Amino acid sequence: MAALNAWGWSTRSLLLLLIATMSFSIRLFSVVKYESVIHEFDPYFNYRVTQFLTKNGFYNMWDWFDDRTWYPLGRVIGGTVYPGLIYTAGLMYQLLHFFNIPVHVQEVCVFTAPLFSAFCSLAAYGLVSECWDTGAGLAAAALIGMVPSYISRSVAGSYDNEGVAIFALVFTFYTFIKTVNSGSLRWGTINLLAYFYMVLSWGGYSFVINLIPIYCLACVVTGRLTARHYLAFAPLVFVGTLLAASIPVVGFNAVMMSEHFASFLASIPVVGFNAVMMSEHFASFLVAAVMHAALAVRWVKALLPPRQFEYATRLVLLGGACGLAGLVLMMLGYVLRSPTFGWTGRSLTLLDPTYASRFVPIIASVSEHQPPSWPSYITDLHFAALLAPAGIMAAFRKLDNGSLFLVLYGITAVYFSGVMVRLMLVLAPAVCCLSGVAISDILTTLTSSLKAGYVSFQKSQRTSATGEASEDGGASTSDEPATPTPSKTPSGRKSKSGKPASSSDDKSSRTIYNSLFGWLSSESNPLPAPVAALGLLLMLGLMALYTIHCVGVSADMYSAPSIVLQSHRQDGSFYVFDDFREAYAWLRHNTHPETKVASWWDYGYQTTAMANRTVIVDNNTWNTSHIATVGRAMSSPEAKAWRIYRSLDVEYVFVVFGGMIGYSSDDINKFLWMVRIGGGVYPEIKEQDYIGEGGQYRIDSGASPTMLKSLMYKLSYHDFAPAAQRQFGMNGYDRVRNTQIGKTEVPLKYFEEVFTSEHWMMRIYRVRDQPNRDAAKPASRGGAKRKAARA
Amino acid sequence: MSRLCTVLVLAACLVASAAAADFVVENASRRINLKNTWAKAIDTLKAKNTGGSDLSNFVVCYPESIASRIAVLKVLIKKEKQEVAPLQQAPQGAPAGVSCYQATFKSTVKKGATVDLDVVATVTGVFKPNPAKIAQGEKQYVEYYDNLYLLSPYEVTEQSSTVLLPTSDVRSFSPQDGGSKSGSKVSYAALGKQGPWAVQQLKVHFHHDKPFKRVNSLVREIEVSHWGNIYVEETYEIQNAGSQHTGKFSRLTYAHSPDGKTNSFPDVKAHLPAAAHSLYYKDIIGNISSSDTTHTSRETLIEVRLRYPLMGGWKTDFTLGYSVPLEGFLYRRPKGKLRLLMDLSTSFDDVWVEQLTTRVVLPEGAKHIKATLPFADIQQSWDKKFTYLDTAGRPVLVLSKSNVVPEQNKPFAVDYSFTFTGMMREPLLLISVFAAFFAAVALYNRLDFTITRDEKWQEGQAHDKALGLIQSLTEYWDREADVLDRLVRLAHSISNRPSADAAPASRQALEAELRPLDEQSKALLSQVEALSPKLAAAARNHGDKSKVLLGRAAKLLSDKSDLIKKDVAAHEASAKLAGATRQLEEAIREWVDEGAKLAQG
Repeated sequence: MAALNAWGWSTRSLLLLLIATMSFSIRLFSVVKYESVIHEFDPYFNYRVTQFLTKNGFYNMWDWFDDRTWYPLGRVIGGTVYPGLIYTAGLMYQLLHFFNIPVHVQEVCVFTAPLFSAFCSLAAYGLVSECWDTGAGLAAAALIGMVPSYISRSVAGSYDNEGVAIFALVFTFYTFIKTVNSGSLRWGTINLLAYFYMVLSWGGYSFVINLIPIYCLACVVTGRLTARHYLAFAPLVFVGTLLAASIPVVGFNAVMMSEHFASFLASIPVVGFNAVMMSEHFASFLVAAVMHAALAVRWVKALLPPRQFEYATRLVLLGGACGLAGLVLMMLGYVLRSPTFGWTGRSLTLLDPTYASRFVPIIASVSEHQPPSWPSYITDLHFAALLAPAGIMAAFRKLDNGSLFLVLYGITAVYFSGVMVRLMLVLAPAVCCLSGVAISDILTTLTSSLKAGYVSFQKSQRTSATGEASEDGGASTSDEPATPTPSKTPSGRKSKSGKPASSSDDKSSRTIYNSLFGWLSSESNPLPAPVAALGLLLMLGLMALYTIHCVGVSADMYSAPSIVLQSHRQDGSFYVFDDFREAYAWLRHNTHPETKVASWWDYGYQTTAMANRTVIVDNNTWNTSHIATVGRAMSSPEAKAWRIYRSLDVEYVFVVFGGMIGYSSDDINKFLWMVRIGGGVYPEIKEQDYIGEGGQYRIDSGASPTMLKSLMYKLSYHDFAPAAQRQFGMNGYDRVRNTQIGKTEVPLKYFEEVFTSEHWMMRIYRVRDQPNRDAAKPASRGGAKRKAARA
Repeated sequence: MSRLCTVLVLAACLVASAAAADFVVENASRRINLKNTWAKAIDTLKAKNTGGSDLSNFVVCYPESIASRIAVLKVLIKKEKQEVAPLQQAPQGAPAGVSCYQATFKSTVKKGATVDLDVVATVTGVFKPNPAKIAQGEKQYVEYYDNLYLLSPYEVTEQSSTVLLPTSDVRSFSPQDGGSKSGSKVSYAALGKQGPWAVQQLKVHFHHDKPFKRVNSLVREIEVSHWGNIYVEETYEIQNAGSQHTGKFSRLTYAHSPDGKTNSFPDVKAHLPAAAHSLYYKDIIGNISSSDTTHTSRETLIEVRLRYPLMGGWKTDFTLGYSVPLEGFLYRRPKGKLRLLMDLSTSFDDVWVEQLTTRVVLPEGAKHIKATLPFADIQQSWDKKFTYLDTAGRPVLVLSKSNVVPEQNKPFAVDYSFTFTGMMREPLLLISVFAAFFAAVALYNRLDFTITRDEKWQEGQAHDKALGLIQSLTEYWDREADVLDRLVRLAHSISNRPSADAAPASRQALEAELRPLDEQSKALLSQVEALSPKLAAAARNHGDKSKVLLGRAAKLLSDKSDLIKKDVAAHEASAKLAGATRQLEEAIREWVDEGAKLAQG
């Protein structure tokens, strides 16, 4: 057997080590360019929970009821969070501190994702070498190590579930295929544990538990089903589901048909995901049943004489049809009885992936839940997106257990990536694995062509032209490098399969065919050497371009922590806008610890983590009506908003405002979503009221009066006009909207500015105990007072 | 405050009699400097020894409200510091609420001689904002209370008091009598002769234009590594201790109005050692992105901009860290001892520290630790710290002191002994752990943990594997059968002389096809051989049979072509050879079945 020779082994290990190092270090741009800090929004929540875990221990975290958020409701953290990431970081922290290495928990969190990206590239190597060969495995590992789509979620500081979940995903697949290939129960157990870790880490586990049944079904249908498939699949379904059910956030959803799944679930990603996935483990149980049936049929077939077997088949089919009809009737009744008709909606989502994002504004308001655009495929996958189809072709040419899996994985992932941008993340490993296969195949063909060309050139030098046809064939067959396969099952492929060159009657047509399409067929007749050399050059060029692209994207696009902004100065140095942390630090130090702070939900996690204050809503958008209340307050006139906030015990309100420095993702630009979400629950808020002249959303002189009266407008532009006058020489000039604001005099009566950060990006207001009498005009005073009194 | 003073006055009236009348202060000139954010009271005294003997002790007293806030008290004779210690009990006759200190002179004062003394007290946190809360842009007014006279157990013949203020904006001062205000100075020129314990409250209410930078707590950690680094980390909580800011904070006013920034400060400046490197400035939510460092040959000046400007009452925290090399801070002493010389407190300008904790972390294994401290009121305690693979923990000397002003940022020394082996402890630990690990792995690989050797099971395993290989061998056999079939068909298809002539060439071509198959199956066979010789023999036997079949097919082919060459009609020739052909075909089929059976085991 192809015993690995020492050189091959050590070269491969060295390459893998280098790939892992590269995967890790390509993600450090954020630390080098910015700082070692937690990024964006969700990671702050994970960071906070990890801090809690390291301080209070496992059980306390499990039971943690967080009263700092969703005031006055609170949130049961232990039961609504996928704890995989947090446990992982917590464990690493414990381990380091066990050896008295005093690393701060923040550093552990920051570097968790890059570390697991390195692991992920190793897992991808395993998966592809199981499915194809080690060369393709290496290519896939290198591709996945720097694919921008994955980088976007796993740069240092991006402490989010996906950081470990993609590793878990690929590793689960790897162990699954390993089990299928080896039939070893040990690998089956590892597979089970990998799946458990996957469920712990991410809502995306439903992809795993749906893809594997699809694969097994395909195996049943195509007649590849063996006992090894059963060995791999059955424990995964039954024990795996039990394990999944023991995680609170999944619980019995794992086995239920998940009619009301979405309402249970905590975070938008999960909602979005489950809107797509009809039922979690249901499909896998179904497939398990099919598998059992197939195996049973096979067994019975072996037992019975053919005649009786036929009778038995008929009997079973009849019974099965009756049973199925009954089941369908019951299901229909169940669905019709269910008041929500959740089924229909969910079926719709399955057929129309954009359903959720069009009809659920709270999902639609998040940019990463939009369907991706074509350019984003190129940005995120680059030439891997082009090579993946070639990989699928290659896999089809040599269809076996592994390559069938790769094909199915690729195709389903492409479908789901069309649903929302963030699912590109599931696609990326698939595309990388398939591209790895393609690259490996192309390079093998090209290099062996070159080698064959060289050999035949040598031979023709030695013996002047004899029987070129046989010589040629001999060269191509004997010199074709046997693809190294690790010691595997005996039934594994040994050489490129396919029929031997049919020594058919007419050689001439064969040679013509070979010269044209021979390289397509599996026995790879050599290409002409110059073509091969050119092709090799092109491939290497593409790979170099890919690397450059990935490094560039990692450095420029995906490394910004988004809580710190940078701009280049004339002299090449950086100017740092640190307004968010400035304001959060102010809140933490200069307000009462029990203060309630209201803001749009985007900033909820950051407020609880950085300012340590109670928030009304946060990024865990499980309660739409609560968010709608905040949206309603923001879009209401001052007096009404004041009453809403007073009723929620809110003492401080802050808005994010970019008009002074041109930060475009500020609250004014998000405002229409607040209106839509508010209007979804409170019909008195109508989107049309906020649309200005010309049917456009605007804040200049053409803005609608409701807009100009809204709290959001007032809090954003309070005192702004004179500041803009000094800054830009134009009264009330907004740099983001690039226009003069509609109303420059913005007095406040119910709110009081208590802090505005240096570049005006965060403006914190105190909700007054009593309306300010001085600020109001005499005419409107009585009215406002009466309103206040009514409240 | 005022109530306290009335109490003092009453007490003074009641007890104004016996005191230690050893000294008579002939002239006392008090200068109370309030220009800074803390007060500095300098009393220049001329004292005469009127007692019956040489004296070396002198008592100075302050009202309790001031005494409790004294950071530094110095008694100087010709600029030479004398020893000062607090008196546990006020001298006899002292009114209530008075704290006294006793200075011990280095040289005694002879009977009847006079001595010139400077008594300097630095007092923090004695300004009381009034009004307590002000809005942005408003001026900050504070009150200062003191005793108008020199509070002393001695009789004072002649005295004057001067209060130096930061601005000339004085709302009020009392007592009005005898006092005069000129510019930013309130002076009481001739206060005349007073007996011991003369008490009258002095109150000045004035505009203070400097923000009060108070560090509520400072924890300094100095970690010494004998690998060449001293690592300093300072964690501050800093607050604006002036009038509370109330109402709106307008960024517009702050940025653009001339008085929008009054009573606030955006930054603090520190003078670090010139050798300081690897500076960082952060708080618990990350770097604070705004600071400026200037390196000069004498010092490293760092301007620490806080996250946000501190208005009155606002506070924030931050951590400043840096490293310095051992040179210049750690010295070799005789007998293998080492001495660490570091500054005690903060190097920030114009801040005072309420609670200072300095932790000196010495390397693991440091022994005989002894600190030499600049001030008597520093408390010492011990702690242990575990970092970087420590096993026994590093000894930590914890020094704490409250109420520290910048002038008290004096060096202190820690002497200890530390050996080279202690330094090599952790590298050796690492080396041995790794060596042990590798050794364990090496050993493990050479051990056999099988409890019983199950020959049957192993044979079964090998058998299964060999079967798998034979399964792939059948692929080759199938191809061979294919070639044989084609040979038979070829024989059948020969119908005329040219095809009979071409027959040997075609046969050769077909046989050439078999050659690589042969080689590949041989490779597989050798693998089977290694696993199960029995099966290999069977397989080889089976493979050899194909050779026989091949021979038979070749014979058939040559027979047929011979017949055709002899001009026998094709159908006759076929009929003649029909028996042989059928037999051969059957033999091939049998052979294939046999191969399949072999693969089934």
